[in-house]
Amino acid sequence: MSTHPLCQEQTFSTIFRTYADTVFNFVYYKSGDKEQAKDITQEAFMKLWQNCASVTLESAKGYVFMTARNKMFNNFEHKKVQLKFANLNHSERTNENPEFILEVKELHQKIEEAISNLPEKQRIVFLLSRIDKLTYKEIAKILDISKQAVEKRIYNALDTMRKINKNIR
Amino acid sequence: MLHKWYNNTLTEDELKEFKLRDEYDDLVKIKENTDHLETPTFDKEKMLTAILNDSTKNKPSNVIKLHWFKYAAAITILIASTIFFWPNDKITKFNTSHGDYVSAEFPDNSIFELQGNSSLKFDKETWSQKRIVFLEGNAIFEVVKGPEFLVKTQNGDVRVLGTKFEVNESMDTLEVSCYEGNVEVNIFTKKITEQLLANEKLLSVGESTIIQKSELVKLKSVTLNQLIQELQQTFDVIINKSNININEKLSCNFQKQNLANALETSIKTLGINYSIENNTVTLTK
Repeated sequence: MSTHPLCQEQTFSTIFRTYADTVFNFVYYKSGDKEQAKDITQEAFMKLWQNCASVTLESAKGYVFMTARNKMFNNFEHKKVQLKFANLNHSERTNENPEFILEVKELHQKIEEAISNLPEKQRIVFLLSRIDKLTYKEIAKILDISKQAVEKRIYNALDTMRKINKNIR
Repeated sequence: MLHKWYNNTLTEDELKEFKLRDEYDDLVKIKENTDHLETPTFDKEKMLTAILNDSTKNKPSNVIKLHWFKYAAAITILIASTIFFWPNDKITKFNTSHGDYVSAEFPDNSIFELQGNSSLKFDKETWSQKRIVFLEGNAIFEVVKGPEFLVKTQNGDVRVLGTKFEVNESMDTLEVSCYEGNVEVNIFTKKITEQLLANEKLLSVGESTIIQKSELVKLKSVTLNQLIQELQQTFDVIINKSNININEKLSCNFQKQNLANALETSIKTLGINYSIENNTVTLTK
């Protein structure tokens, strides 16, 4: 009998490198806590590694996300979430005049604020889509909800963001 | 339409129409400004190395990897009179107080769940050759295939090859519940040998023994009161026992399918008559 594919270090490493960021982000979107996101990511993949023999290659992704989800249910006391993002788009244009840079910074802060203020369900779906560029289908699978639910949450997130933006202005 | 725009799949005509909406400007702003956001980064390679070098990981042989759970394991429970002496230096010990609960893994990934008011200890160093757990109280085990796995209690020993079961012991009580696989219980002092399959249970309290099999219930030197309790539970009836000495002892078996048959083979053997009315059984001398 051959060794199970997931138990080979090389295969496992590939899986890890492919999904680690998304798992990390997923937890981060929910908690806004970088350290916790790191811990849970590590724990989730650790569990996959320990149980490599009983998980198929196809279900590895789902397994890791499920583990991360469960760990979060167990771990969280939800405090107010404050997410921080770097914005590559704007940091590229450093030669603009100072006034413009300030404006951009302000806008960026507003966006961060607005995202942090989104209800948790909308926030996670919205960011998985915006930042991780996952399709609706992929998000639905990770969160174990329907594609329609993802659509609804994206719609609501855009709507909420719009309202929050109006208030800030 | 919004979703089509959001995912950049609008046709040109549709886009023209969409642009006429009031909220279009806002939406574009939101979308543009969230297009290039980056989350905090972390050292992935460092994490990967930590995971791959995880020392708690053990690699069982291929057969076990794929099939250990399929092996219906035979378990032997022995009542032993020997008391075990443990060297104190290399022992891993877990204690729980009332209402407490601990779940952890043995070095080979076998799992135990220690319930409240219990203590459990084992020798880490010799674990790979001989898996011995000393238990006081109540614990659930899920054992991976490997060398002999022995749970020692003051009331008896449980020997395992790979299954999920629960042992609960205290004072003069031994309770064994089998969840997966099968178990063989040997109580030498009572000359009892019993195979337990999944969801079957053995309870030994002092002299009396109650064995709940899937089809029938076996009772050995129980009081009439214990029998009545079992009957009430099994058939969900109320048994009216006025005028009867409920401390009388007896041994009997009864099938779980039919109440009348069960009463015939149990209560009747004591010379007690019964009558059944709806959900109530009345016993008369």
